Amino acid sequence: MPFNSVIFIFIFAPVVIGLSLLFRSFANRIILTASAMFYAWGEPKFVGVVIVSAMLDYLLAAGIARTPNVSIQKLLLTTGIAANLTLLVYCKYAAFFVETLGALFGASSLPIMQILLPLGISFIVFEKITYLVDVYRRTTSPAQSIFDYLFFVFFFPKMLAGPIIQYHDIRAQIEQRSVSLDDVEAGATRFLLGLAKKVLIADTMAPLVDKLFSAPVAQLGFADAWLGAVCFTVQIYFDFSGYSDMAIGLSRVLGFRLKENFNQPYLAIGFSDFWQRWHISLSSWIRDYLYIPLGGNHGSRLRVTLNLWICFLASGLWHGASWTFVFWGAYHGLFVSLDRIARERAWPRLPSLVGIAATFFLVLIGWVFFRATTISQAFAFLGAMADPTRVSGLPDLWVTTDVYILLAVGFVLSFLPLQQVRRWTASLSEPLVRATQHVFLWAATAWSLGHVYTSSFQPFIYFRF
Amino acid sequence: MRSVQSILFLLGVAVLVLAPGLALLAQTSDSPQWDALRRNRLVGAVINAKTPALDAQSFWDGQGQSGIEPWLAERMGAPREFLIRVNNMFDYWAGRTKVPGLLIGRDGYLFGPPMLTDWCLRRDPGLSAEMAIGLKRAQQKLESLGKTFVYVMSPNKAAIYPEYAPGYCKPSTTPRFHDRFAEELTRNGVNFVNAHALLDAEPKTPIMFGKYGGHWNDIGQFYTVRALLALLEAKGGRAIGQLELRDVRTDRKPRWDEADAGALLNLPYELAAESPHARFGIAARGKPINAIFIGSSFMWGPMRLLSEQGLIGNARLYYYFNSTYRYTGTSEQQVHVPNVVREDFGKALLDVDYVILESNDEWLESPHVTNFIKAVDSL
Repeated sequence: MPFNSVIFIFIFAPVVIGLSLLFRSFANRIILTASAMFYAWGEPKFVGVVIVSAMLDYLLAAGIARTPNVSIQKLLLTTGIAANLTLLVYCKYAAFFVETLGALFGASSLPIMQILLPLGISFIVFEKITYLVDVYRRTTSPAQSIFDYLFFVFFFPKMLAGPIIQYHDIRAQIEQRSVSLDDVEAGATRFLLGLAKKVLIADTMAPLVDKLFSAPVAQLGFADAWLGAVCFTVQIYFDFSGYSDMAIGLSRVLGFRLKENFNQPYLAIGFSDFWQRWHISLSSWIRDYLYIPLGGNHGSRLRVTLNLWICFLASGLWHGASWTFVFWGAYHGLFVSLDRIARERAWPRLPSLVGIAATFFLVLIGWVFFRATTISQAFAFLGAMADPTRVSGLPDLWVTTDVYILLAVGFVLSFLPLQQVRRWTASLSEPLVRATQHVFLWAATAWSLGHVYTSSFQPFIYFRF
Repeated sequence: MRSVQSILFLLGVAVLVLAPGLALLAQTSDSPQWDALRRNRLVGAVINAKTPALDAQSFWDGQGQSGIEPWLAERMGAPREFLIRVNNMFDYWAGRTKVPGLLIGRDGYLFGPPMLTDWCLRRDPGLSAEMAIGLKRAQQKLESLGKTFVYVMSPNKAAIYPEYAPGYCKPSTTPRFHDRFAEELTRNGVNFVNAHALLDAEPKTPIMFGKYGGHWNDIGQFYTVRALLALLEAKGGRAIGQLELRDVRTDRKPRWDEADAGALLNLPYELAAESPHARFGIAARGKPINAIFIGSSFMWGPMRLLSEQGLIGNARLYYYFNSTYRYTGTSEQQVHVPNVVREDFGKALLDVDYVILESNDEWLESPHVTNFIKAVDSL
């Protein structure tokens, strides 16, 4: 049940929000039941696995908290992490590993594994691991009841595509929270903005991107390839950040405050800055649960670089079971490593605009690896982008006006210095600014909701990660 | 002040989000007071979802979930219609439409994808010689039975008004399938009316296709029907009548299919553009013809014109060679007769002197043409 579906917007969300606001003392039970139904709607075969696995986490965490013996704590933690990773590896990577082994050793007789990838599995597993680790580190005490823990695992706004939350961030809110009119307004506004970003901008780019990345590369002209890369750069940002906005907005309406997941990433100067602005919850997870345990910034330069590379290769692999994602992770790892030098020597000496443009250009190149189906296709695609003499061999590539308009809107919104805009609007009459915002948002909402009815279904890019 | 604004905004959002659900509930009531909420006046084909299976097995395999979404959406009545129309309006302003079968050209002109495929991509199904030979054979067979045969190639809007084709349409100089086919028809001696050539040779004012129309208007039909009648007279050897354009009155009130594509856009407002309406007359009137017409939706207009002018007596239109419409004098008497066309064809042929086949430039090789050839072959 994607957020941009008829059934979610017009039935599920109003009913769940309405009931939880009307019957506040039962709100957690209502939301938990609704969340389980939400997940079962998309993954009826897997919902039981998640429940059983969550119960195991709950028992292990309780054991970790209760025992004073550090060795047993470590054993319980290792068991919990291994169980979760086994689930992830089996569901997401088993087929990839078998294929890779087959290709490496020419073992064509290896069985082809066809395992259904459950929705949101990567997000679910990472969140479950944070609970175990946080209890082990005494960052948090264990959940008061299995229902609280199941609530954390199944909380529907963030379940399928994040933001990845940590138990200690949400624990107090599960136990006690309030919902004000401001929360409802801010949450609704955030959700509707996210919906507009997703259905009006990202979904406009999607068919063209699909067409260009599935076309024979030999037929791609210079302009075609650039158009494909630029449109995907806008698509992935508006798709994913739109989804995060919807998740954060829904949570807010229900009284929960989730951490931000994006902060104008295309304004980043350098790759370290980029990863502090893009998919922040994943970056934080990798920092807290992988990079720091590996040693973090401590140790020789070589060791730190190695730690970074391990983290980014893992991040790439987390995005998908394919060598393109691994390559994309390595690409980012390389530039984050170089960025440690650039932060001191290059970026401070260059005008900000140059830093932003250079980073954006390199991120855009990286997206080609992310979107391509094979590494060779990615290099061929980049070859087309590097050759201005390449002429298009795609006569049926019909790019309609709306793509250019919404691409421009996407760029403006990506690069708009929001803080300056906020400062400027603060100097204007507040009622006027708010009224204008409300009118625009209402119109965009009507457009988006109509679009939900008419457009064919397009899954969120991040659903399968 | 701030709270009032917030409440108004939230109420506005609540109306948008809750109204479709209310319309869904209204479907369960028979009370006429809910009619306004239930109604759905969207023009054209809409999804016609099957009732989803709601059992454990269909839930387990996901079929139930995927089936319920369109089924529910279809029952969300007037609020859904409102939102779709608002969406279509913004889309249209942005130069796009999600309505299948429509594309927006320059200055808001509407086209069908096959029109642009034909004009912009110069498609060639490679059937020109084979089809021309088939039509020649059909013509000879019909002539041997004492019938006059004429083939009409109705025009493609994009080829008549390429200046309004979208900016991404960049046709090469390769001849269109229409051009190759016309050459083959000439080479094989098939009687045919090349409407594209006729319309292309005429002044473009008054317009021959409505800006928002998917089909030709009175003026476009006039040039073609006039040429058709002349050819029928020449080949049939008797007077029928000469069609004359007596008067043209232009307004912004499109009739019939002069703005059919615009209606299909389902905007919140009516698209109105310059629409010439003609008054016709007949010179040298002869006898009405008894005829069989086989053709596409481009034949509705000419059939109406011929009928209104009293130029057809007993006639049938085999629409795409699939279903039959009978004409007995004037358009008001047009009757849809469900039957098996190929069986009816042989019998109906006994009562007529003329057989007119039409297909459109955007799809000249439509199966109704080959089905017609096969039907004549089997006579």
